[in-house]
Amino acid sequence: MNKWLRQFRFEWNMIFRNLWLLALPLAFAVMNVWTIGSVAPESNLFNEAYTFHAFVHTMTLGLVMLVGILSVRRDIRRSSYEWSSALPVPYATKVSAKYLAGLIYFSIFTLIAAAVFAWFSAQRGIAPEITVEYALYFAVTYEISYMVTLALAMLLAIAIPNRVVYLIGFCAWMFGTFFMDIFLIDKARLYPLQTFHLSRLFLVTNQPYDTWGFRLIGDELLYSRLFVLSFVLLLLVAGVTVLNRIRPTKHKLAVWSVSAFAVLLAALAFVPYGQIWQERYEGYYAKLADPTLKSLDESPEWNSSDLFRITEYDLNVKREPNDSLRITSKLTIPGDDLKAAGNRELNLTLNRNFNVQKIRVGDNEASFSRKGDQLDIKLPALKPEGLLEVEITYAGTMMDYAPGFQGQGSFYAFVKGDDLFLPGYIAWYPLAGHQPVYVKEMDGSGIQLGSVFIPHAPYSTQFKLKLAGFDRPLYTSLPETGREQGKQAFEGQVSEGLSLFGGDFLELESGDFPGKAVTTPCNAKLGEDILAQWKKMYAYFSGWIHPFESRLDQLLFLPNENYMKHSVENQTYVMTYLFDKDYASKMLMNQMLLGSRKGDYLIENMSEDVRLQIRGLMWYLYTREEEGYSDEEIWQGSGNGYLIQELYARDEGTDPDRVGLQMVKQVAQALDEGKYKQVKEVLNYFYAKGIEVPDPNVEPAIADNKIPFTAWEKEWKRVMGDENGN
Amino acid sequence: MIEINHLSKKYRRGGWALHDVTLTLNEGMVGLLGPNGAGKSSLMRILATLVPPTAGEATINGIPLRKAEDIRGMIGYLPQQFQVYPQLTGAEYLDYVGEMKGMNDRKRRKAEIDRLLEEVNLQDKAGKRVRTYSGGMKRRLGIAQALLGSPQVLIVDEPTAGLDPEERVRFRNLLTRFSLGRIVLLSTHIVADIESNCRQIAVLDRGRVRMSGDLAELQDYGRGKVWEGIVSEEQFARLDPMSVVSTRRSEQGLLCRVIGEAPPSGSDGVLVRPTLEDGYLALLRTSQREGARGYE
Repeated sequence: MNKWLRQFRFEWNMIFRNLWLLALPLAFAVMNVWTIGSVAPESNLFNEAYTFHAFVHTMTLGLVMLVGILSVRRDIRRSSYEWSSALPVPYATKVSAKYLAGLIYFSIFTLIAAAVFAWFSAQRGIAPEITVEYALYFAVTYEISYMVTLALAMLLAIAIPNRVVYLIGFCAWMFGTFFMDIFLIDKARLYPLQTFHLSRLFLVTNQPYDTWGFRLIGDELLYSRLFVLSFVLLLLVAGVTVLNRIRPTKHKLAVWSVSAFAVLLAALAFVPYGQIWQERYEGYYAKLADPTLKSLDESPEWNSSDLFRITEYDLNVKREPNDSLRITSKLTIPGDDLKAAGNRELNLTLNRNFNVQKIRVGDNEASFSRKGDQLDIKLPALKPEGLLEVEITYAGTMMDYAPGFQGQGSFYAFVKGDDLFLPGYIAWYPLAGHQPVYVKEMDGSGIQLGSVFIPHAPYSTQFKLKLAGFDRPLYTSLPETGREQGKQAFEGQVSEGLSLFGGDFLELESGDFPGKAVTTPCNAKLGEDILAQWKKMYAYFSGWIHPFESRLDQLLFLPNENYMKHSVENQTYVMTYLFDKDYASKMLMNQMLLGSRKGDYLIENMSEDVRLQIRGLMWYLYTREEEGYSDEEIWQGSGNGYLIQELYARDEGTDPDRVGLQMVKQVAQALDEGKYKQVKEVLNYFYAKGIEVPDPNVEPAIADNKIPFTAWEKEWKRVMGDENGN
Repeated sequence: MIEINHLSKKYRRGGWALHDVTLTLNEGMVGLLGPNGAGKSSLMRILATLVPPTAGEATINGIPLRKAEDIRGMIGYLPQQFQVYPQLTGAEYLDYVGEMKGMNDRKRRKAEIDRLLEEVNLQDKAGKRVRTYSGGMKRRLGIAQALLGSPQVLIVDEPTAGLDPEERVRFRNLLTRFSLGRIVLLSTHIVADIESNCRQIAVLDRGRVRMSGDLAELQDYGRGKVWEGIVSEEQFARLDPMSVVSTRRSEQGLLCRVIGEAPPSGSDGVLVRPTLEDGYLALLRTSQREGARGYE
């Protein structure tokens, strides 16, 4: 032990008496403080820090490689230092002392990275447990990378006594970071090789996000790290073994036994990690082999007109301790719909990850069959009259992995701990008919989500949803009707599917403002800012619009584009990225005030339908009155161009008369004359009539609620007195 | 005592460095002579347990080489090429080596280091970093580290290379003192290094032992083969350069000392008493002639 300590002290001095090496952690600390400290308050600290560390940490691995090689080449396998090999010191002592001294040196970098993040995270008021969790994540990831890179560098230097080892070490660094990511993991889609990447921070994955991110793959990370640790041991043992092969030892048997043990340990440590990937790929290959999955070139078969209506869902979702869900879905189906289709069999779609346990139709248990995601229920001989009630009980776990999804391998849906993402299109509740949850690529080489092909139900459905067994609240696009410890209830109309979201999220509210923002702790400041602006705009519009009909009451700001896109689902706006909080808050207000304009593509003649122009005038008025821009400034492009573009758009095909321009001139002149009240009266009139332009597949009645230009002129004259508003 | 039995060493890339070497080396200074590439360093590296032999066995004080860890505890080794961590001072370096050799008592270690630094004439430079040392000073530091801990066996490979004449003498005397009751194995191709101190010598050439014994035995190899005579410059040009040991210009011509069966042709050369170097060269000539006849 004395010798080991002396050797360690010696190696320690070799590093810590080197001014260059001492200066590097200092420079690293300055860079950290400079970069992390300059992250704007409304930016996501975790995401920004991750991006910084991904690059800087990978750069420091080059230094690890260099120091590792230098520490070995200092006196091992160099003929002019052969005297040291004649000393009665085992190589295990020398190698382990070198390794530990080097690792302690690089742990300073780890500590700096974690401490600087923790400091700035705490300064922002992020909850201590989250700060600690994220800081530890950075620390552990840094440290594991340093451990394996240092061990690799030392083994290279031991195995290659020539100076060319510096070049080979450089190549190993390049390959183990940049090239492995680009060519092996990403291009060849060999995702299980991620564990061999020297810097997990550098991998293109979901981990940079605090929405789900690394928590979701906690078990993979754990097993990967355990494997890497055992691999580190293997590398070090291999190094000592190589040296003991060159220099005689009386402990040959022990050396080889330890080597064999290290190999065995690494192999065993790979098993749980490999099993995770095996399970993931098992599900994927099962889908590929599933004959019920259609190929992309068969898409015409999916037609919403074949679907029957499910007018009411009553869902009870219970989470079991092992992350499995047990769900009871009660569906109400008009019997006429089934009769019209001549069905003796009820065809539904339910995700394959759920095992159906029991089905009752009316008061009777019904038999059923499953093929992939298809669920076919034998209807009773008695033809259903009136409303058919079907109760389906099913259970299962959901970690639906897709290699290559979002270009990096990801989950279509998942339930893991507090993290949960169940989009409606994944069929976590039974959908009408046989709908394509997944589709095969044309050459059959891969699987894609079928969500783009799943037809929207051409009607609204009443949903009741009860949740139990979840430690944290879940979020969905339905109004929440009750919440108590571990239980939640939601109820409302659903027209575009129902998704469930869960995670380490914050709920942000502001007094009596009816809107709510849900986001991650690192986005709290941004969420608060958006909510404040949204509230301010709401105060403006609700001050003169009567009755104000809110079409949005919740923002889910979940920055992780790998799972969702920007979308509006029922009364909820899901945002996955933000360029600008001003833009975001106006999008929210626009949706809350005006609802959808998904059906705007059907307006072929603007003179016949000026709903888009009236929507634009609402924002024109806001820009003039609330933001203080003049008509001239707006004309020159200031203000909210993206919200009022229909007023100025030039399209000879659909708008030869430039009705938008005519309307905005009328309004501008009236406002210049101080007739704000009258303008608001006109706009209020049309708002009450309805200026939403929804998808005709979803809400055909509203979509067809046209407002012709003549109607505008008539009302304008009525309120303003004559053509000029005088 | 070091007993070497049929020891051979073959490197992966290259031929046999040692071939069936059998020697018994007793206490005292043992000189290992041989030209460059004779296998001296290979033999020393094997005895210092740095590389394993390809065949054969050796014991040092009864301990076989395969018990390498036990042997390392009893030897001091100075390789032919010697470098030290430039950022350490001489004293720090020796302190490190001492502790690695198991000298755990700090006071005793320091006392021995001070003594050795004085012995190798580095006491004034002990606190200076090694990077400021000259080549000869580094060599002396290497000698000190090998002597540190008073090893039972000292293996020094070409230790006098790079030393000035004064230091060389000082070093020989140091080794002679040290060899009392111990084995000091010294390899060199400079005969003068062993002439005054070694009780036993072995001559290696092309991996084989050509001779083992005392100084007189080696000297005897030159008996009846060393001639001196005066030759003209034309006659000198016709002499076999390998046979000429030395030349000195005189008024009558060139006074040549040659090794051969007959005096240099054209001269009235006389047989002279061989020196140790003559004996060594005569032995090597014999060895090389045998080699040329396909001895290998």
